Amino acid sequence: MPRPETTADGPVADLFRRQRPDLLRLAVLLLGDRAMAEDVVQDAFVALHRKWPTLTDPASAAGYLRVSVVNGARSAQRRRTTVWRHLKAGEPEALPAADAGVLLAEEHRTVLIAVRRLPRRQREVLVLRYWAGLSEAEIADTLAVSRGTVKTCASRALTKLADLLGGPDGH
Amino acid sequence: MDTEIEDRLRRAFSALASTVDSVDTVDMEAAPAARPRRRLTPVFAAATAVVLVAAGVVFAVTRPTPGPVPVTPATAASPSASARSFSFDLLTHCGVDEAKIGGTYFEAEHPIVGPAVSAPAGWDNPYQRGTMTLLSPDTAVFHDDHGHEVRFRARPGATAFKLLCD
Repeated sequence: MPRPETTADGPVADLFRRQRPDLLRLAVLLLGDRAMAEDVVQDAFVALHRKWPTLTDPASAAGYLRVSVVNGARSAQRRRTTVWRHLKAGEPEALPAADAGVLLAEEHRTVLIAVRRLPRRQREVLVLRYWAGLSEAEIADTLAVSRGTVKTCASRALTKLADLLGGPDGH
Repeated sequence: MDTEIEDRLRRAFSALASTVDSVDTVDMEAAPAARPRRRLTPVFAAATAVVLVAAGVVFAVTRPTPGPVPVTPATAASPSASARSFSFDLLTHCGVDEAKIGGTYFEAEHPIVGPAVSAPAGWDNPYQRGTMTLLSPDTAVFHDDHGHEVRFRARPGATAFKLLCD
């Protein structure tokens, strides 16, 4: 198995160039907030940079970044919820973001707001499955859960979405 | 086969993802700069700077011309002199028709749209990764590893995509 380069600058910079756009999109989909998403992605790359010398398999870096972004999004979401709780105010609908709303058709806004009402893990499964296109096994690895949990989450999420969006299949 | 809910999900996610400005790739390549952080520790700041500066160095030596991609109207731009290429994720989910480059909205000279306003056959969905080359401030061409080539022209004054499929 190839050892990573001892200096992280070159390989991490290359990963930064290739992976950041997709990771930023993933973070935006998970958080619905561009600024928070940028922080989460930036933190993921910083963590990778620090971890690089001990990384045994450079090919695992992309997966490591994806897991970092998902975990970072969870932490950011918790911080945001805590802030709103201390302000004794309900958290506003986080999706879609104000700037994104300009570009989003009403249909998409409706769907995304419904997604926002799902439990966190169900949202993560849907984003990883229907946007990132990951397999059940990859989603399970990313979320550190079993494949059965992924299946169950997806099934329940789709059922709930159909209910939220009206009709047996969302219509 | 996808249910209607699954299809709506994919389209909504793609639409939201497409609002993440694709110029990020270009800006990052040109001159990455750390944004002010709300809670960045000195150690994190230093590590981030190393990453970003390294990225800048890599692209400074690999890009034909350093500096941000020009997206403001300009005159007398020689295609060969001004051509800039960068990695680009082209939205294909509703067909190959539009692209946002550096804050400017472009449209395909010859749109390619699949059945029922979907991604055309042979293209990745919802995005096709490839290379966008700005030939001038208002013309660009997209290439990918499948051999696709699509020429785009700017839509002066446009502030939004023409169509977001739904």
